[in-house]
Amino acid sequence: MGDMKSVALWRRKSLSKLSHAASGLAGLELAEKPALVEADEEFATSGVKLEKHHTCCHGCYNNCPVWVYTEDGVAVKIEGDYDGTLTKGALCTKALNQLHLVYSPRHILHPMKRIGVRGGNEWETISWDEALNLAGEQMALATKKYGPYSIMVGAGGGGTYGNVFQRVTQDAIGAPVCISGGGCQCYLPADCAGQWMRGGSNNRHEGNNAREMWNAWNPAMECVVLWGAQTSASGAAYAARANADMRERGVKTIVVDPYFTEEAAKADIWLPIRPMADIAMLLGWFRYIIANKLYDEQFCKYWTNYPFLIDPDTRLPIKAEEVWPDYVNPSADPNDVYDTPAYVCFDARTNSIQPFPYTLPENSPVDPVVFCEAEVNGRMCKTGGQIQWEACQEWTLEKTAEVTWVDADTIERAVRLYATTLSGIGTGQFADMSELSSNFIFGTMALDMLCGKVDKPGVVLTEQKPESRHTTRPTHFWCGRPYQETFGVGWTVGLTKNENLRRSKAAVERWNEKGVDGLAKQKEFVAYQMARLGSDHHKAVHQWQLNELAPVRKALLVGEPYKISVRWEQSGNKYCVMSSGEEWNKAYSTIDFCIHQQPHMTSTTFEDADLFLPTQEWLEFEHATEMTTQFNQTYMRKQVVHLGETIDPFILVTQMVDKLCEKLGGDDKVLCRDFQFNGTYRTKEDIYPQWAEMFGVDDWAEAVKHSEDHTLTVPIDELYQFYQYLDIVDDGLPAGFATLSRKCEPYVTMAVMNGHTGFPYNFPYEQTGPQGEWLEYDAVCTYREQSENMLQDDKEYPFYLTTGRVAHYHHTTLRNAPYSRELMPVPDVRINPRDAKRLGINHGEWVELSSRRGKTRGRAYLTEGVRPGVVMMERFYFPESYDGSQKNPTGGWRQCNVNLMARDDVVNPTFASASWRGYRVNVVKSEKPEGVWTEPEEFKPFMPDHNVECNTQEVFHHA
Amino acid sequence: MATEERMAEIEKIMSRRRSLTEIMRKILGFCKEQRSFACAEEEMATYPEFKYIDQSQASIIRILVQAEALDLIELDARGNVIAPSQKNSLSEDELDDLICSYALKATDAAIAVIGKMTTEKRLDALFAASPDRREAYAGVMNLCRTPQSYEQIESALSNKAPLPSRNDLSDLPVYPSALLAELENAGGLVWNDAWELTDEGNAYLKAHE
Repeated sequence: MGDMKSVALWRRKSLSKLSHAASGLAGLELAEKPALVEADEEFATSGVKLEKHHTCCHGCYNNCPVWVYTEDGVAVKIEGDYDGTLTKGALCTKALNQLHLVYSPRHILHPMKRIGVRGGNEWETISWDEALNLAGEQMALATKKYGPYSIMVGAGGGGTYGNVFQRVTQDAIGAPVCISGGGCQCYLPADCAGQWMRGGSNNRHEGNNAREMWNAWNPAMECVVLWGAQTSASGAAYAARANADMRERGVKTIVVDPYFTEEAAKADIWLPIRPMADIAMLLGWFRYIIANKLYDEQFCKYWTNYPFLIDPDTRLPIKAEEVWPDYVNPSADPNDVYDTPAYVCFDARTNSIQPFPYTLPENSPVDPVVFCEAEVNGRMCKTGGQIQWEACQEWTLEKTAEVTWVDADTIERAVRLYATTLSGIGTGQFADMSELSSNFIFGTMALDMLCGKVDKPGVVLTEQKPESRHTTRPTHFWCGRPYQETFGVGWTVGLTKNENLRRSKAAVERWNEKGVDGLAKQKEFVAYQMARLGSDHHKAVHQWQLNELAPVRKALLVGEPYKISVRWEQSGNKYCVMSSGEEWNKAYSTIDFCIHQQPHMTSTTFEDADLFLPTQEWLEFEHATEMTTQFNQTYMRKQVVHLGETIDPFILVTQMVDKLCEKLGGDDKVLCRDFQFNGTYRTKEDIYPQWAEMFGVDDWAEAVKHSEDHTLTVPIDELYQFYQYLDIVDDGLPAGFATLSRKCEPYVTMAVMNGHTGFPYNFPYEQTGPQGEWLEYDAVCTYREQSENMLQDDKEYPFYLTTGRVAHYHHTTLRNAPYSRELMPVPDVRINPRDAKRLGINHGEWVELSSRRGKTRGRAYLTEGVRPGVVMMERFYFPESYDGSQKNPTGGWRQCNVNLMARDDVVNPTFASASWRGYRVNVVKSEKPEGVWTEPEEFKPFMPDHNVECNTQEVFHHA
Repeated sequence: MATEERMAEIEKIMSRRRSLTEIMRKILGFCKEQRSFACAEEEMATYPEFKYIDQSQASIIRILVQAEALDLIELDARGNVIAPSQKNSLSEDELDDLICSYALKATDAAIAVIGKMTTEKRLDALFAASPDRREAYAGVMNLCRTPQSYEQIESALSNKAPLPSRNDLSDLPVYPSALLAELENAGGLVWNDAWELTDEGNAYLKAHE
């Protein structure tokens, strides 16, 4: 603080001296006096200490490398790092606004305790000791009164500091309820699809998957389909920057988007699809490709599960032993560790059903037919390929055009370009936020598999880095956390059932050896898992340990099935990222105590929090793994500044659980205290050795001072790896994929098994209905429409709402960054000029949107970029609403919150994805909401405050 | 503002944070008669629920005053109520000298609100809402005649048939914590380092034996 004040004083003094000198000079004749005067000694010897630091942005999930300049420890400038492989020095407004966020007068620097009523803004500063004591006491009280399920956690999306610390915290204390405004709605479906269908990464564009399109070193890709990916808005400096290079290289782009995005504007073919008609479009592509034999038959035959005959009752691929009990699988592991099943196919050579063991294609005893039906054990069974064919058979170009509202010729041009070139589909998050999430992601991945666009140059679905090569049959566990090792729960795909059981038993034994009843501990863990709300109907929520939203809200409102007493909110502002805000507002009132941790107070703090714990902005945050990798580079995330008593969120959660254990009377009073350390740490000193090892340095603390010297870079020729599945591994067979069949699974067997028993999450236990019922989830891309769609005649709500990202903001962040707000003070409602004219609405005028669930406002932005009948809007909230200058302070989430109209009562069956877009609305002219700032000068209270304690010490240190 | 609107506002404030509701209800009941501020603070300190709250008595009282659930009455040195006319033309210092203490009295709207919230009425409503749970509720209340930990309640209920939950969005049965919280919200049970039957809860059980 002293430094900062002296800098400010110095500046004022210098300016004052200069102005004094200038005014003096004005009255003098220069010739009469010497021009040079004796220097002020203090001024002459003073100066600022200029430093330059390397770190990476955390404004979104792209992690762009940056240089940060400080003057006497104060960050004054951020610029892009020209050595960023793809960013090449580019930065976006989100990154640049960090200077406004870290020095924002709204950046809370000390723990705060509410002293008035919720829904007000009266707080008192307390110490960290007091804060942790209070949090620990309240969590312990809830645990003692109601058991551990009474503590609920709130997680955030990719703009927060990650989800690992939330998940391990839940596991440590055994608290099943965690909700995320993203999660089921954002990336979880893609994460599952990548693992379930190919045992690896997925086709999500913009992040660190799907990077072959940016391969400028050995360019092979000819075309890429950007399906619902608004790259320029969500990843302007990284993915969009790389996309620009990609287009320069001549890669053609097909953009599927109802909105005329920046990507659409530069596309070779734009399919301006009816919003949420994507499944129909995908099926049209499937049909065209299959009917015109544009698929890769050899790949489908030998490297996908399309030729496997499917049991019509169980919907699972039939294994050879089910038909021929004495069958000896030549590819089976004699040690019964690795699983390489043989299935049943219809063999074109013998014109009969035959066992289909796993071999190299040239060694295969069968010539499997991909699309057929055959009798097995007295029942007619279809192949996986046939099931997909029947799902798409009716989707001729004409029908697809009729349903998607894109003309048939354009669709044909697009699908032909895609199918006949080295290409792939890169997807955006859009369909995750709808009821269609599973069908969309399964469909896009399966199309690439159908066309053999897997693990070869020029396609999207590739695995990268040397680690992607295998020496044994590839396996995968759904997350990096040791559930199987610790609790003996979960199935490692690629291992046999017996091996999975052995591992489960070994975990139980390890507990027994420690004097704890291992079986009881395992059951306690499984009971906690299955108590996750909504997981009984949407079992894939276990992938990210999430809960379906509506059952949680109802649990709060009715107090059942169990009491939730403490809310530990670790994300920004749930009120503007989820539907049903008013209901949540009531629901959260039933909470006895609410803890909110964030760098800035939000609507959530205003409405609900009783205790606010300040976490660090990214210029204050140091890490080695959390959001540090971009493309082929991993950066040391350096703490450039540190204000007040802000805290690393990974340390915070650990300290909180420590305190909870202390108040409960011991570490053994929670489910598994040490599970916390699979991702978090108590102090920086505790984790430094691990980070040092990761970066190959002796001393992290010393090395990070010159973080620019320690960027880990994977050489490009090592980054791009292809044909891993063909490597012969130690069993003499090709490595294949880390899936159940060791092949790509466009017929998503895992989805079927997940619906039946919750597989693979709770093995050796099953999650079925009350009477042991199975649920049946779609295994192939199947036609579905949103429950509210544009095909309906709806006079009351004649418009259809889609949403999209904007370049100025990420999730709920940055609304208190004054320059971003100056650029975009309120949300735009993009509307076609013909609709606007009919409604008497001019560009920039306020409009009100309403759905069957709620209403909101925004400013009309007239554009031909949306078709008539469609409106597009992005989420928003107003932190100025609880500024001290307001006559009637509010939480700022009711005025222009698009999600007040959204719905979570109908969700995707597999993933519980709710509809944050894709529903009917009405539009009328309206007025500006009271208290909302729109003019640049109004944002003055948000301008950076340099009169703070800068570069303070971390709060928690190793004992 | 009409009484109904004032009542709605008070109910809203009282339900804004569940852990304060019962404390507020009790202190409003205590302040049906005019009480000195200090006396109200002392009274609140005796509530088992207050032990676990991070807010001071003054803070809770201030919330109720702001919600117009309590009237804050200014008293002079002799304990007399200061009339508005007495304050006319006084300087800030003179006003400070005049006001020596405060008293509190529940407003009519607040009294009407807590009149709807008697333990008997809330337990009646709870039992009536789920006739199939009467035995379970009564069983838990009877158990709590002697203080019970959560684990003891959980263990006692473990051999009972699972009850269906009112949360129709989940197939999970009702957990003991839900039954306990419902009885707590109705005023039948209170947490006092263990679950205990309240006097009102005891009276209710007796009346319905």
